Amino acid sequence: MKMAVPSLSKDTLTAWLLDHCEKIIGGIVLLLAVWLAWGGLNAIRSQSAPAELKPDKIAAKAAEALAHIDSQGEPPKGKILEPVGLSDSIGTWLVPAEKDARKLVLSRPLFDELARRAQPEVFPVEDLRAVAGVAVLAVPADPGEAGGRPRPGPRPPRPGDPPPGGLPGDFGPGVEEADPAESVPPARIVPYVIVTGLIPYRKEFDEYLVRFENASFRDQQRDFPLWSDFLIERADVTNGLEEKWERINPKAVAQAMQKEWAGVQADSLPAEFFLSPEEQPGLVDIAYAWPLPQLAMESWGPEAVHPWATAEWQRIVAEQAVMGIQDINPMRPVGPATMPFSGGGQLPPGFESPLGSGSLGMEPSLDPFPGADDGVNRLDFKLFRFVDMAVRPGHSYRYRVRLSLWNPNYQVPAQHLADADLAKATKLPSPPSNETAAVPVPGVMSVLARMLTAEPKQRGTAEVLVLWPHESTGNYALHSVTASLGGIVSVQRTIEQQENDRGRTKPGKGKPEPVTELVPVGMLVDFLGQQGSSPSGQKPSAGRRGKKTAPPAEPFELLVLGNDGELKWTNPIDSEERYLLYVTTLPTDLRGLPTDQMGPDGRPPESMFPPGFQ
Amino acid sequence: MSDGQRFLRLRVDRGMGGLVPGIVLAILCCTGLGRMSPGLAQPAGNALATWKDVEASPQFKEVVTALRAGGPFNDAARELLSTAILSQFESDDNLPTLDDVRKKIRDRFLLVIGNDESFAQAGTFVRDRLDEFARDANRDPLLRVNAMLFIGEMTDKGRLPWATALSTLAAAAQDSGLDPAVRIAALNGLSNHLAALTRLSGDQATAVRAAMAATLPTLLPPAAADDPAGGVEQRSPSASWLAARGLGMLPLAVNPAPPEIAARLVAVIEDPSWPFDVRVRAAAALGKTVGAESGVAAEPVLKAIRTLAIAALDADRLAARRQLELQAYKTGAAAGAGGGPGFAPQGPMSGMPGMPGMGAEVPAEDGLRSAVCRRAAWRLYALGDAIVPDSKKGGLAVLGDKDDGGARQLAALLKESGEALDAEPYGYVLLQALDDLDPAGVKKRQAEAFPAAAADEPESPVPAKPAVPGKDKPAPKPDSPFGENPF
Repeated sequence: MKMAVPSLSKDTLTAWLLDHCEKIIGGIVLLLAVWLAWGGLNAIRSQSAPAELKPDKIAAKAAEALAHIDSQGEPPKGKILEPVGLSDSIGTWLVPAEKDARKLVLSRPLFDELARRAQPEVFPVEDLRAVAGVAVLAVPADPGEAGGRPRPGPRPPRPGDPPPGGLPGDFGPGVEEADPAESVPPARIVPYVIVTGLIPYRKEFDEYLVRFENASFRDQQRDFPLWSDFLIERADVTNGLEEKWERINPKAVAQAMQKEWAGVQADSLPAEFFLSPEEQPGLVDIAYAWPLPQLAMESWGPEAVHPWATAEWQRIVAEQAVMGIQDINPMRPVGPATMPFSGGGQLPPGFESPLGSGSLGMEPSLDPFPGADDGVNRLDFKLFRFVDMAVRPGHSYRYRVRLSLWNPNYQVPAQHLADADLAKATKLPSPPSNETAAVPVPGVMSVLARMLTAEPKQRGTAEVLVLWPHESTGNYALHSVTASLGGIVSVQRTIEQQENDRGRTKPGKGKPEPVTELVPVGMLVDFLGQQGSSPSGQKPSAGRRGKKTAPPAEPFELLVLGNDGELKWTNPIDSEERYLLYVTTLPTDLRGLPTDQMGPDGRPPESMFPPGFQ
Repeated sequence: MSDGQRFLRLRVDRGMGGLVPGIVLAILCCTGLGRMSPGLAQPAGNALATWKDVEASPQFKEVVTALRAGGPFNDAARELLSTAILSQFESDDNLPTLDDVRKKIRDRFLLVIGNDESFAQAGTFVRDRLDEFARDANRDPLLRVNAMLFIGEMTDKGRLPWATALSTLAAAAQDSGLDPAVRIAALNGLSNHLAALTRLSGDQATAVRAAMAATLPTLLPPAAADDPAGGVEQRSPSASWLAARGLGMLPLAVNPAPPEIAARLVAVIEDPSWPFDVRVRAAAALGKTVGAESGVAAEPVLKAIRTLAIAALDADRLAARRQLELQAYKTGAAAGAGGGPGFAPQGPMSGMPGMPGMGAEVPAEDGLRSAVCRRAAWRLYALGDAIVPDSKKGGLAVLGDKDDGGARQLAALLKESGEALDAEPYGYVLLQALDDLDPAGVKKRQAEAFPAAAADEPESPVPAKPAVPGKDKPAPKPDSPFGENPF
């Protein structure tokens, strides 16, 4: 029988495929399944982990290796690897061959990519703080000026005064003893709040650098931040009052200061901690670092600057000490010696003309400290300070500040700006700073304590010293009050009859008579310890022959309830500085200093006075 | 309006605008309150404004004569007390002599009552009324404190503290919601009772001791919960004063101290939130009251006392150093050496003398004033006396079972240092005492005082910087900010 020859025609192939395609597909699938099954079986058979690679075995070997490492302090001899110089071989890769590349002419683009000017972000004052206190300000010497107070002369004799020449310390017959309260300079006691904050100086510079380094329009006088005026607001939050922010007009405050202040006190910090006049142009008398008024008898302390500044200055001085630098100034002096009061600022260059001195395509230096490449530290912040003396004792205040910059894009041609509107504003305000914590303003009265050479005569009593404004000098004067528990602490005040009668003199009496009245300022709640101490280490309770000395006495402390409702805890140690400052305002017989602290004239020696005392 | 005028409510100057409403309000208050509460009203026309006026009034003479003769405490006497006598506390005319008025009310009214029952009734009436005054937060603090002081000064006819007032005083002293000044006044009253303890009857003395033992824990509250800032929050001045007062009274009232009070005292010694003086007083009270039954372990307490002594002395040293820095800062400001804005400083030493760098010229330890040294002397001696008392009674040294040599040695060192410091209240004596107590900290303190010199010493804990060959100046520190100038 002859086999039929298969036909290879198109129809035949098509019919064959149509008849057998399912078998072909099924066969392929079957082959794949067999292949996968074979792989799985092979894995189970030949690729399972041997016993030595089981996790428990590996863990045991690792523990053994660690124990071996721990037991061997040093590598076995002969096993120390020779240095292969790996660091040397990779060192060349760590230093980019930039210098070589720069030598090639075509290694740099022929033209820098120029960008349009954008608006810089204005950073607000950071870490705003407020400190309250009471300042004893020097008064202007000219009595004609507002707030001026002539130095008081001898007062007329009063009832109860000692006879002339009858007491030590008199100036002789016919010369009346001056009022001891007038032994201190005239002054004005003013409660204050000092607000300090940090101007993000470096951050702002960096922001300008980013914005304008590759700008198509460059102007050296515009491309550094120039601070304009600031806005400071105050809220009286006494007894939980609702916050109502009130704007303070710095110009008005500055005008009042110039009339009422006797002068300003220099800061103890270098100039670099403050914005220079060139960096705050246009601010004649409302600079960012408000000047400190001259005090009558002391100097301002660290309360007048931000804590960051004192810490930073300490750090710099300590760095110098460690480096052995004794004779150079780490801080670069800035410009001429000008105080903010003296003004000197003008509008920033470029603001008087629309185009300023800008240039196209030039590369002005963006170093904010030209000529100061001495490697010294640059401060991150400049200090903000405002002195608010329009505050009331017993009230609590919060503050916040907004600063502003002169707009660096002011009237810059639109083709150089990312947005044509950027050229319109003169100044760029910052967001508000943080709000300070509520700061309570203390009262002007202070309570002091001191040791006496003997216990008060009356048992159960103690002497309380009260610092109270004197009606004649305006400065503080000390009042010595002996009180028992629950007793009122009051000070004697002399007022003119005119004042007492609301400015009306009685008919027939041309000259007003002085009237003395007692002003209660507090109450003695309690005291601890002994107030009397014998001089030179002789104890009151020592034995007759002095062989057995008494143990050291318990320190004396006072607790007085002030008329502001606050308990005032004081002791001779805390009181000493202010007591020595004002001890001469006590009558001579009440100065009562221990003999080992008295000078030959009955006054404390000058070495005991705090620095700054005049 | 000056501060002083705020105390005198009747002298407050509100100007003419507030005068008329003020007068109307005052009249309404006097008439209305007078009807509601006789104790608040002044007699019409303020005729009995001062105690002298009261004594001169016929009503007073009539009532006192009747009471002196043994008469009852009747309505007339009650009316007089309410309308004239107790209102003296609220009279502004009595302000300068209020403490004296307290004594006169007691001596010339209460103590002249002849009948014991009347005396008890009058005393109870006065006590209750003044307790109301003292607890009324709307009243003047001056009145409240004096009302509580009066209760504390009440005596029986034998001039011994009046036992009936004890519970009122103890309740006020224990009431943490009461004004601290009133609580302190109540403690003063309790101290009057304690001072007369030896003259009181057995029951009365027991009652006083029990009242004080119940009061003390309320004066020494445990430390607050963890401070979120991570530091130690200092106790308020009023809380510290209350604690100091109570600790001073404790040895008279509680002896020996039970375990719960002893544990509270130990906690105060170790608690840095209390001022040093309070902690020293706690140690002194523990030393005077500790006994075998107090359950106090000697070793940790002795260690805490040594730590406390060192910490107190070191705090004085650091405070003096800060004071020097402050004075130097002010001196620099006064001299204008540092310069203001626009002024260049005169050099690295001009800004903060007293900082490291100035230390080579002015030792940081200078500036320890004699008053500070005398206070430190008391602290050291009191701590030593807590271990080995001068009275030879009690003391923490008795707690050591066998070897108390260390305790006695520490006590001797503390006392000798205290005596030396009291005799010579100078800084070097204080620092010597600190070195004796804490020899391990000598190098650290020297390094703080003379940082520049210490850096040059090879044995100094501050590592010396490697010198640059061929240069006199030492190389800057690797982490110097001067080397990080990005500009």
